[in-house]
Amino acid sequence: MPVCSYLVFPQANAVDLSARLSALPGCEATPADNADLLILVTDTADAEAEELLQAQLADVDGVQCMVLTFGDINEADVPPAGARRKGPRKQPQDAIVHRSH
Amino acid sequence: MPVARAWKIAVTVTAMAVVIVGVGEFLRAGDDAGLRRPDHRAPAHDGGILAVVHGDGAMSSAHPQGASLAPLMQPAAGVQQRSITTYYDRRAYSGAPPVVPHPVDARTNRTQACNVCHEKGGFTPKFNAYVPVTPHPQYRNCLQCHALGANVVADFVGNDWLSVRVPVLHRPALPGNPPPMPHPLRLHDNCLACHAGPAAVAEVRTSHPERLNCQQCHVPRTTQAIFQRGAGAG
Amino acid sequence: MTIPSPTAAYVSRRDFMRRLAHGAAAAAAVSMIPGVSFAAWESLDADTSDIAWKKTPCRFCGVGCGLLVGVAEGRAVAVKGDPASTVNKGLACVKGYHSVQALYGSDRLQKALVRRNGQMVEVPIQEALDLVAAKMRETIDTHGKDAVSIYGSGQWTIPDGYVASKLFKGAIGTNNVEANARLCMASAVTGFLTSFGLDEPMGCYEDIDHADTFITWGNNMAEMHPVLFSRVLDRRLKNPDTLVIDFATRTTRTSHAADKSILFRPQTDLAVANAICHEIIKNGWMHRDFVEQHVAFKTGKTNIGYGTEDGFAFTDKAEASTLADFREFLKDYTPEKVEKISGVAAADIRYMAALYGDPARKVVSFWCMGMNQHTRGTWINNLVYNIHLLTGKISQPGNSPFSLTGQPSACGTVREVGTLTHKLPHGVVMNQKDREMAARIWDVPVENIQPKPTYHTVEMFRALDRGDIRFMWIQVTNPMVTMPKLSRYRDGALKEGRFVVVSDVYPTPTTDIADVILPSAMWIEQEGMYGNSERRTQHFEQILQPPGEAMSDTWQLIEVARRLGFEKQFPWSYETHIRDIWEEYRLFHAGPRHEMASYEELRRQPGIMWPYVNGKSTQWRYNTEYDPAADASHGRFDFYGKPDHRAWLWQRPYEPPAESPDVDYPFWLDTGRVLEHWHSGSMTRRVPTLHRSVPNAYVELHPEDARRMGILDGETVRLVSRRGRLDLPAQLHGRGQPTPGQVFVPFFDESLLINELTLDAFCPISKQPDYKKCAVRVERLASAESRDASR
Repeated sequence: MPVCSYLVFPQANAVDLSARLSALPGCEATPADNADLLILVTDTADAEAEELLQAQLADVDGVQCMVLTFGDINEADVPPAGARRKGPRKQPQDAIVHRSH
Repeated sequence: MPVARAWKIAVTVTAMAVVIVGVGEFLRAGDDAGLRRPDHRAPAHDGGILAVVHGDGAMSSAHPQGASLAPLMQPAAGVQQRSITTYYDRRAYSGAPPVVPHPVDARTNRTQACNVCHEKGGFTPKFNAYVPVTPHPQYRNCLQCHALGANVVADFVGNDWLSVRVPVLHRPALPGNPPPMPHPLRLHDNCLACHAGPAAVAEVRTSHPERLNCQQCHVPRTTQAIFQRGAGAG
Repeated sequence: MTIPSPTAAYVSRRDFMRRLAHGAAAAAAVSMIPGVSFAAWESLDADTSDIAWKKTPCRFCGVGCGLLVGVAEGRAVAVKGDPASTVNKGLACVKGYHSVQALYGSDRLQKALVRRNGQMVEVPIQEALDLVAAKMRETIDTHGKDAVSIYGSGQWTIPDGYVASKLFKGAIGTNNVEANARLCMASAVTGFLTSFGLDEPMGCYEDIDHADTFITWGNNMAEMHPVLFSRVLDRRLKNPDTLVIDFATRTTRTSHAADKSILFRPQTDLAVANAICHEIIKNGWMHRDFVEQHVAFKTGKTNIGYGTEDGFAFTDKAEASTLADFREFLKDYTPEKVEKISGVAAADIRYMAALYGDPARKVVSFWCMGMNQHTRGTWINNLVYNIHLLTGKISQPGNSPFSLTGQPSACGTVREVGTLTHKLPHGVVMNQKDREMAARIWDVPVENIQPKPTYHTVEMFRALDRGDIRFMWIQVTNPMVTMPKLSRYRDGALKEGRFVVVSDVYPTPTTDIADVILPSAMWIEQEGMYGNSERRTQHFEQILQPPGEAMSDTWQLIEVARRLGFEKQFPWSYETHIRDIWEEYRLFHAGPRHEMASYEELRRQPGIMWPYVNGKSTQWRYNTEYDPAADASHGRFDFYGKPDHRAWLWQRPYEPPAESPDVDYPFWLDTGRVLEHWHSGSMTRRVPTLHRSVPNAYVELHPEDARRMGILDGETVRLVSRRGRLDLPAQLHGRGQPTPGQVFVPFFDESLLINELTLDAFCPISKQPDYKKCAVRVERLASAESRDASR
């Protein structure tokens, strides 16, 4: 169950972008009251769904920049290395901190 | 307040690891990818220790030496920080005594001389951090309540513990009003221990530590109920 | 997906992670843009006011701290110390703060299990209770009443223990009722009975606030009774003249916190206590008036044995003696002579004697397992009372010999209800009047109650091994971790033709040997009462629902009693049974010496100390100023437990332990607890914070011994005794440090069972085993291969 959060800087309107991000599966966006900035929390079933979601996020219009601020991913959720989607983007798993509880 | 043009993103320690995805990738790649340069730098937090901003605009990553410590202790870089997330990660529930997150040497384990550091606080090079100040220095049998938390071991069996959400920052009733206290004061009656100084929890650091009579303005919130005539005391 | 809404009062781990994620992002935002606010962040507001706070005594040790358990949506979610409790005044220890997590271990027993063809099979609990009753009936018919037994504990609630005693002693008619408190408190009981005629301390915790001198006798209070120890340290902070002396066999956190640490060789506390008396008399520090008016001198038998053989029997005999006789006896215990036996410097003995002897000092002596788990446990209890009696420092605020307990209701259930083979709720089975009283209250024929005690705990397990006992019901305890010389008793319980029923909340080594496992309600999942070390009875209501089919031990016993045909004696309705049981039990203690508060009073107050007379707790017994039962015609004090209204001062010599180190087994083995774990660890090891702090057992070695043997910190070593062997990691720099020639192992770890090595020698008077002294050798394991080969 990967759970991540991002700070999202919109190109234009945070509220408008928030609505579009929240429409994606497992996404909850919260615009700031007093700044052009929003928080996106994502919660996906497994690493595969997480990959898929990240691809979708990359295609969302109106995003100037997204910064990962939090990542929680269980070992069991991570598919074997060969199964990972290769792509031009940075592999986020590399930097996601594994929290063992 | 137009802030979207940050050319440097400062991320607090709460961000255990910082990765740029999507558009953020451009940030790392270079400066000519359509991003506007900022008009001003992101304002540094008081003392400049909360936000760590690298001159080259790169993001901080996990501190390699800190691998044996709980992941949430990892600072962005430089000095270890207390954030509300690490604060609650060390507690089983809001109000529980926190575990000791750092190794404890044999001597301290026996003598419980924790207050040597934790009574007054200050910077400790050993842990590269500001020492959290205990709100109750009068208690000396420290390990009575604070378990050593350094053993990261597989749980013998699981535990299905749930607790209520931790209190978060309270909004004032009116803009500019002093927010109420979201937690009880037992064993926490020295507000400054957590809310002031370099070791304060970042998110709840007071902007006005010089005003010592905290409860003059901040009162505990003990109920959500509103006054009703004749509702009784029960 | 949604961030959890404010209406959901608790969060799952997943929600918690989302909250953390959200918080991290918000914190990052705040660092860039001070003052930025997120509406949703605010809406996540924890609603702490949704928590209902309920009072209860703590589940763990005998201190009996008052806790407030926070409840939301039917679950315990938080704990705080109860500021209204005079015991702990709002503070708890790490076990108390995390106690409620012990309710939620993932492997809680929720269904009854029955062994069928060697496999444990889930069955409805009513079916399991049918089987238990049928098996009891069958065993009684085939082997007689004394072939069935119940083994409970000081964690039984008072109603649990009362119902067990009534069923076995009253209805069935066997004295086969024992409790694990035999392993922890029996010497304290016999110490009180031989010295004062009545059980339990004369003082109370408030003594701490009046005393200025604290002497801990083999008692690592900083870890085992931490809340009381914090009260001691608090007293020292407020009164700088206060002295804390740790008199022990091992250096602990208590030693470090103390003003002075004095170490003695195991078992020689007997000699040191006598030497202190020698000095008190020699220096004229004896309180002559007190001794003349309130003390009687006695001698008992000597060379009394160790009980390591089956069927061992011993009865002490008191003979009248005199002060002159006592002086003569003490000539063997000059500080110089005792220094040779004990290793305690004569100057230190004189120092302790001077503290006790100083009329301006108020002295509290604390002890627990160090003195009780002792092959001369009764004697050493007597000897410490002797010191307090000689100096008249007893039964007054701040002057108190204080025997602490280890279990939440060792006093309330085992000692007061009398769940031991020789006891009844009032008095002993040997006494005709006491049997008549029990028969009357229990509504059974008086012939039902047998006048002869049967088996104390060690003998009860020996009887199971031999086949004299065929059926044993074990409730709230884990003897397959805690019995000494464990392998004999485990093998015995597994023999053909033995039927073992275990009521517990988690799987343990004891449920592993069970034929029936009954899932029990735990602590605040039922209503009940505990009685703590200072005679304080504390009620707790049912706060939570037990999981699955779990049922309170009280109700399990009632269900079986009814199946055995004792509906008349067990008529209570589920709704009011705790109240009805309490009010029936209270009849046994009517009168000013032991009056118990009514059910309603108990519910109202944070705890009540008996005797509770005219709406008032009694803080200092035997003192006419405080105790309504004390008669002023005997002077300022009245030790009314004895027929002569005097406290008895016993001559008790030093005698060596059952087993001492020798050439083959050169180390002393001492066992005990650690702060984080309680007893056999079946609850505390399921609490993440506690388990992470101390995940496994280890052996503490003195660094000098380790250096000599080439043992490194953390290296696995082998301990071998005449009973068994155990491989476990060496700890050279832990929280405690044994003296050279001694090792210490905590007993909480079911995968490293130190009781395979311990000796089942016991105090002949109390029948309590000595877990603190036996001989072992320490072997280095040369290589991993030899380690594996041994498994």
